[in-house]
Amino acid sequence: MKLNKLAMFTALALSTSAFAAKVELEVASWKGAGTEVANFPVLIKKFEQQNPDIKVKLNYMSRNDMVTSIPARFQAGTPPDVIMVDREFVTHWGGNGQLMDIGDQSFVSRIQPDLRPYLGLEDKTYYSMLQVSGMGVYVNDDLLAKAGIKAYPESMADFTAACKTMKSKGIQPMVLPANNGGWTPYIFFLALGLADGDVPSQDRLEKFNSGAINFSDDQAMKNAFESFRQLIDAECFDPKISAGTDPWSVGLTTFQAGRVAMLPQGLWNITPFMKDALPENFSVHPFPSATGTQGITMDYIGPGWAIPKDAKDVDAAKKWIDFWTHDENLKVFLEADTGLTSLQDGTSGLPSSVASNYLESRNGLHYVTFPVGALPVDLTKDMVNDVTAFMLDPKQDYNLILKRWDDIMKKDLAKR
Amino acid sequence: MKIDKRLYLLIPALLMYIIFMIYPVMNGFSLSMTEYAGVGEAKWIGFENYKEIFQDQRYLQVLKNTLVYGVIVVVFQNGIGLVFAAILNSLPAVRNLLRTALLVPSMLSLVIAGYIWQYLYAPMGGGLNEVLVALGMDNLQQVWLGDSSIAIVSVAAVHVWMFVGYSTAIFLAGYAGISSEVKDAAKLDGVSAVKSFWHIDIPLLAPAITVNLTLATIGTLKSFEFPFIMTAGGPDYATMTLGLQIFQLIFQDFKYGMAAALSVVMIGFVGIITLVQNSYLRAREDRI
Repeated sequence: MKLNKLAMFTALALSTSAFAAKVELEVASWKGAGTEVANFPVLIKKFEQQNPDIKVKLNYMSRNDMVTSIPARFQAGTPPDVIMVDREFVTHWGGNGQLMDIGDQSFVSRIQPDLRPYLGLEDKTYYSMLQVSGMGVYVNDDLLAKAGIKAYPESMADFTAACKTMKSKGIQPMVLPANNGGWTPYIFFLALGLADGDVPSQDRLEKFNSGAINFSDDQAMKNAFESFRQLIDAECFDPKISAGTDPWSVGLTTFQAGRVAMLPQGLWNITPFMKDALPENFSVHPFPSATGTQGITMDYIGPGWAIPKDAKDVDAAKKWIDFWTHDENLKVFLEADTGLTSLQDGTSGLPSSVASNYLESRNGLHYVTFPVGALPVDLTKDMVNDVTAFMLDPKQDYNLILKRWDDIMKKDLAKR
Repeated sequence: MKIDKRLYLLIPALLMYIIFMIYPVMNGFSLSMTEYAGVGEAKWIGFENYKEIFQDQRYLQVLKNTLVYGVIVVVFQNGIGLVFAAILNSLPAVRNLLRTALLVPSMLSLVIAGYIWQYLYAPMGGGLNEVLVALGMDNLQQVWLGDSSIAIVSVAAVHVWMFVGYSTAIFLAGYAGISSEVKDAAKLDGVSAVKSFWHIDIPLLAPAITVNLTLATIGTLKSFEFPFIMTAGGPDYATMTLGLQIFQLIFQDFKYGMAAALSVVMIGFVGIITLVQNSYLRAREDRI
C-alpha cells in the first residue's frame, strides 16, 4: 500500500513537471484570425502534434496595431517569441537592432535564391518569407468579349487601342482608384517605370536607393510618365473619377458591379472575387509594358516570421519557423491566401484558372518588385503623391518631378 | 504665513494633472527635439524638426488645410444650427421630435459615417451623383473626393452634417433662456421676425454662440477621422489635416520626433486661435 502511494506521488510529480515543461510559444500575427484565417488553425494543430512540448498562443492583431504594441514590448524587453513582419517592419525593427539574426537556420537554403536578398538587411537575415504576393490587372472577361477584344493587350499600343475600342462600345475601360493614398496609380506607374525591358533588371531598386542611378536620367521612368499621358489620351481611365475612388472599398465594388472592364489590384482579391462570383468571369493579367511587348507583373514581398532579439523561447520559435518553411505546410497557407510560394520548387496557391497569364508572365521573369522598405520613406510618400498629382494634371513637366525625387534621395543619402 | 488647509484637498487632483497632463506634454516637447523611430535610441537634433515644418511647403499646406477645414465647419455648422434652432423655437409642437432627428447623425460612429459618405460620394454610381441625375441636375455632378479644389469642402460637409444637431441643441438651450416678454414686446411694437432675429435673438444668444464656436473650433482644428477614412489626406495633400499628418508620421513613417514637433505646433495653433476667439466672444458678451 505504502509502495502504491509512493508510485502514485512519483507519477503525479513527473506528470506535473512534464506539464510545467510545456513551452508556451507566443506568436503575434496579423493573419490567422478575423477576416484572414488563412488555414492557421489547421497548421497550428499540426505543429502542436509534431511538437507536443510546445503550445502555441496566437496573439492576433491587425498590422496597424502591431505598429504600436510590438515596439512597446520591445522597449519593455518582453516581446512575443515570434512576430509576423513584412519588409517595412524588417527595415524598421531590424535596422534598429530589435530582431535576431537567423541566417544560420536551415530554412534559408530552401528560399528561392532571388528572394534571399529580401530576408534581411546587409549581411543579416531577419525573417523567413512565407509568400510573394503580387499585383496585376483584373479583367472582366465578359466586358472584353463584348467589346470584341480577344486577347489581353500587353503592350502600351495594344492597351490604348483596346481602351479606344471599349470606349466606342460604351464600356469604361479602367479605373485607377487613387483615393485614400494614391495606391493604384502608384503601382501602375512603378510597373511601367521599374521595367527597363521585357525581362527587367532586378537590381534597379537597389541602384536607385544607393544613388548609382538617378531618376531624372532614367529613360524607363520618363517612359512611365509618357505612358500615363497615352493612357489618359486614350481615355483608358478618367483621372478625376479615379482620384475620387477608394481602392479598398468603392474601387472593388465598382469593378465587381461591371462598371469598369479592368482594375489593377492585388492577388489577394482572387479569393473574395471567386467567393462572390463577381464578376462572373474574370482573369488576372500583368500590367502592360511601356515600351516592350511582354506584360509585367509586380511582386509584393510578403510577410513572414521573425524572432525578436529578447524572445524568451528561442528554440521553440526556431522550430515554428522551420515548420512553416516546408512545402507540405506552407502550401496549406498559400492555398487560402492565394499567394506565390517563397520556396524553391514550392507549391503556389494561385488558381491557374484565373491567373494563367499572370503566372506565365511571372515565370518568364517579366516582373518587377514593389519597393516596400526599399526606398526612403520621404521619397515613397512624395512619389505616391506626385504620381496622383501628375495623373490629375498630365501637362506638367515630369522632369521637374524626377529632379525632385533625386533631391530627396540625395538628402537621404547624405543623412545615411 | 498661514496656508488655508482646504488647499491640501487640491493635491490629489493636482498630482494626477501633473502626471497625466503636464508630464506627457513636457515629454512630448522633449521628444520633438529628437529623431526617434519608436524603438532603439532617440537622437537629439534640437529645433531641426520645427525648422522643417516651417520651411517645407507640404507642412505649410497642412496648416492651411486645417485652417480652411476649421473655418468651413465652424461657420456652416453654427450658421445652419442657428437657423434650425430659430425655426424649431417657433415650432414648439415638433421641436423635440426634430431636435432628436437632428441629433441622430451624431449618434453614429465616425468611422461608419465616413465609409457611408465615401460610398455616397463615389464618382461612379455614388448616391449623391445619382440623386442629382434623378433631379435633372446632371450638370452639378462632381467627383466629390477626387477633385483637389472641392475635396476639403466635401469632407467638411460630412462633419457639418454630423454635428449640426449639437449646435442646434445648444442654441435651443440658449433660446430657452430668452424671456418671452422681450419677444412679445418687440412683436407688439411691430418688429418683423427677421429684425427680431438679428437684434434680439443674436445678442441674447451670445453665451450659446461663445460655447458653440469654441467647441466647434477646438473639435475641428484637431480633426482627423473623416479625412483619414474618406481620403487619407489626398488627392495631392488637398485634405491633409494636422491630426492626420501626425497620425501618418507615427504609424506609417515611424517619425515619432517629427510627429511630436507637429503636435506641439498643433497645440500652439489651437491654443492661440481659441484664446483670441474666446477673448473676443467674452468681450462681446460683456458689451451686450
